[in-house]
Amino acid sequence: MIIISVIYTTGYALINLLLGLVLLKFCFRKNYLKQPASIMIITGFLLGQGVLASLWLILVIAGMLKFKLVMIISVLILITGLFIWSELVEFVKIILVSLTKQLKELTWIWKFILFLIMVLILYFAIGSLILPLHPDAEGFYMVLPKVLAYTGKLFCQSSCPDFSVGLLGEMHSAVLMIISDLSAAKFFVWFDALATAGLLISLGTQIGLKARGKVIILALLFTSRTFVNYIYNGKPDIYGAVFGLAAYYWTLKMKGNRLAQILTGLFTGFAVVAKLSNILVIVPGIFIMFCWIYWDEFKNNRKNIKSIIQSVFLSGLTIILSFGLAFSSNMVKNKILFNDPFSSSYSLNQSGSWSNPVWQKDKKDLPNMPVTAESTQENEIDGAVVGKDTNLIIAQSFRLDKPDYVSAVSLYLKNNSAIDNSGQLTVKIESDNGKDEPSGNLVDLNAIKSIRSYNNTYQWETVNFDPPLILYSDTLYWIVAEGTKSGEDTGYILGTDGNSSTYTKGFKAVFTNGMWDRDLDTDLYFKVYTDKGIEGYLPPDGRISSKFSNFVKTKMHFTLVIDYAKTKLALPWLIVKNTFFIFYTSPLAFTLWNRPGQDGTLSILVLIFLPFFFWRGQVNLVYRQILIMALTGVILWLLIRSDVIHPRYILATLLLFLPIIAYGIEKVFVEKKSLVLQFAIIGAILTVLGCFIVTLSYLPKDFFQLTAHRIKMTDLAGNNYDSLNYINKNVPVDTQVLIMGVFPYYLKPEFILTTYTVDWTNLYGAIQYGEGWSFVAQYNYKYVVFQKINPMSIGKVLENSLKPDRIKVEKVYSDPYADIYSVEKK
Amino acid sequence: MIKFKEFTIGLLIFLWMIASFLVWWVLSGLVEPPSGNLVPPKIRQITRQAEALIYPYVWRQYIFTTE
Repeated sequence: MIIISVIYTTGYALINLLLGLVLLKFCFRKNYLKQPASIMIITGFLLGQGVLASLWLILVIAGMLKFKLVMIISVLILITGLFIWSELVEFVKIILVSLTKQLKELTWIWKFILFLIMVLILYFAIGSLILPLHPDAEGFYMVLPKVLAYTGKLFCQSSCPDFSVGLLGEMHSAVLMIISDLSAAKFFVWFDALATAGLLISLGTQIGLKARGKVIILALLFTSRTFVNYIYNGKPDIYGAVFGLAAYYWTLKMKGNRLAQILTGLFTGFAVVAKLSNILVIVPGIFIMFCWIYWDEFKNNRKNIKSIIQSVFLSGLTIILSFGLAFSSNMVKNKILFNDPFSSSYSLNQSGSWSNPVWQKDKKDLPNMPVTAESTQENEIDGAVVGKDTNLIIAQSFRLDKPDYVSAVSLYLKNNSAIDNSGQLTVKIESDNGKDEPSGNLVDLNAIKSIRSYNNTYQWETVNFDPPLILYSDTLYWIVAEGTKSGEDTGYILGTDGNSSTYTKGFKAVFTNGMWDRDLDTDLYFKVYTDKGIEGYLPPDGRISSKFSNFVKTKMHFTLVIDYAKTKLALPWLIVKNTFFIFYTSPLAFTLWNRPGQDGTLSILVLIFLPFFFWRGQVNLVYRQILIMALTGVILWLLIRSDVIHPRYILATLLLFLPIIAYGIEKVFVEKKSLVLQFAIIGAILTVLGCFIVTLSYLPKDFFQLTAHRIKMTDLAGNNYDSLNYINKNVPVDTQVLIMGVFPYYLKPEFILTTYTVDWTNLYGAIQYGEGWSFVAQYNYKYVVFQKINPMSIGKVLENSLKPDRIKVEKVYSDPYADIYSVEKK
Repeated sequence: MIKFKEFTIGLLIFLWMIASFLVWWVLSGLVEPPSGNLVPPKIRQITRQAEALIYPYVWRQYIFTTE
């Protein structure tokens, strides 16, 4: 099976290459043959990828991405490719001659280093075929392609917000899953890794590197965990990196070269589609280079200003239009899904904003969202104390003028305790019972949250609903606040207007002695927020837009509960006060330090060889240009997004430093600076390469066992495979299943289609009252799967909590990574 | 004839290479596998504690709950 995957993926890579070369030949015939053979092969391969990804996306929007059509298009490309076959062979010949020549330049020790790098590259190929998915890929990145491959259509339940990201690598993964399997989809990234290496070597050639320097680039690249991890773990970051590097390469060639300008625009567009963060790091670097090139031209030819202005205008327009062309299919997708061609609004709203600058220390007290309903603060008085002992629940009703997505509610309150023992305040949004009283029913599974405030003076406290609640106009809803902690002087005091009602569309109610007491003349101080940024967001409850018939529409049966216990620990960069710490540790952390959740670094060799960057002698213009683009991107990123810790977000820009570092190292050998340093450099490279080869040496063993059928592919699958396979085999269709975890990849695609993801806090309230299992039964869940991601998880709390007598809870499956319970009402 | 300036720079670079390599390798509680896998767990534990000294509070929890 693996060999079949290899054949399919290699064939698919060839199709991408042929399509790209055909396009290059027919569009830029004159320029096409003037470029180096290796760069035309890489450019053709990447251009084909970008165009095909856009085509697949259009087909999926049309609901037509099926096996037959994919095969017809592939065969057509193969036939068209016959026209450039002779040139392709010629390119390969030129590359082979060049490689042979460069090999002869190497001494035996550098040939040995190159051999070790080739072994490592082979290991990564095997890894991409057989290693399990990264949890993020199991939770999201490969889940989308799996269902796209199954349906051939856009699907839009809980995953709808996820579609706000650009789809490039995901489309290739989906097509390779259609024609083959997961291994084929992952293996394709290996070809992009090779293209990345090729582009870095080409950049190295531009700055004057010889054969030895190019081997050093390969050593730096393939010992960079932030790069090699993504060759085999199913995350699509290498797509963004390789397109970004291609954009950088063609930027350097753009002066007076229309082909280079078009390719700069296209590859920048594809890089941004593949990884949105590239817009913040690559685009400014390219803009500076554009200005640099035309400023030079102006300095050299001051008399001919008119032609320079014309040239600037035409070049700029060419790049912008090409960028737009590369982005167009995603704009169509965004328009259909979010009614906004430039939308990534949902994901941006989730993270707060485009930027989270290092100088920003404090968040605003109130969310920066439109208020859709609120009371007026007049004649403030203390409301009743809301605490568990007081047996008192306080509520405020409200109405909306139009149906809306409610994403947050704020209450004006203070802690009643002098010694901070008030516990939490549970805030719920409930429907009305028809008697102008809260019904006790949440408007949505997600409509329960908790507030904890330590302030003894009034301030606004906010709870967020993610995904937002869909509330309708002219319907009475209730904000219900309930204390949770026993003891004297506990609870919260809610600010209330004193004399007369200031809010005309609702009123306050207090629950005492088992009944609601309505107070029509007073209101709690409250604000209800809507979020205009997510107007196009489609709710996870089957109420999907009927305007677009190609959406897959199913009723939800699977609920994935985000278990934040681990996430809160693993993703602490979300806490703004840590931003400055992340900022000043970043340069070191790019190479040395694996901060929580960072997920890989550049090679330690980059840090070891850093002094050679400062001890390198004369450099050429291209070296300086590459350095400026790299520094611009990294410095900008650190200043405005230093809360994001991952090097992978700016991978293309970071990789630009590799030829820069390699240049300084090669100088040591070219200028015969010091024999001891030469030995030290070779020793460091050999040790780090050896370290990688030793620790990955299990890969060929596993591979041969697989090919000899001693083990099965499923033996190497991710931790959640066995438990979800149990669900696949034993759970009837239409059964409600609750999964405490967010890794649905190994569910059957028809099951994944019926999943939606919720914040865990909808269960939290129930669990803290010891009613977690009742909650589960109340919502008719027949099975609960606990994906054991962390002993501190809320899932663990539920699993260990008391099972009520009226519910039959039975453990039906257990392995080291998951437990499954069946739930039945007695 | 050995040039003093070049010799000094070479020596300093050599020391940097050795030092950064040692930090990464011997104290590789600070880095991830594969090197981390090749370091005895006791050393890893010590370096994790060293790491915790400079981490923000919530990150410390992460360090001690994930290994």
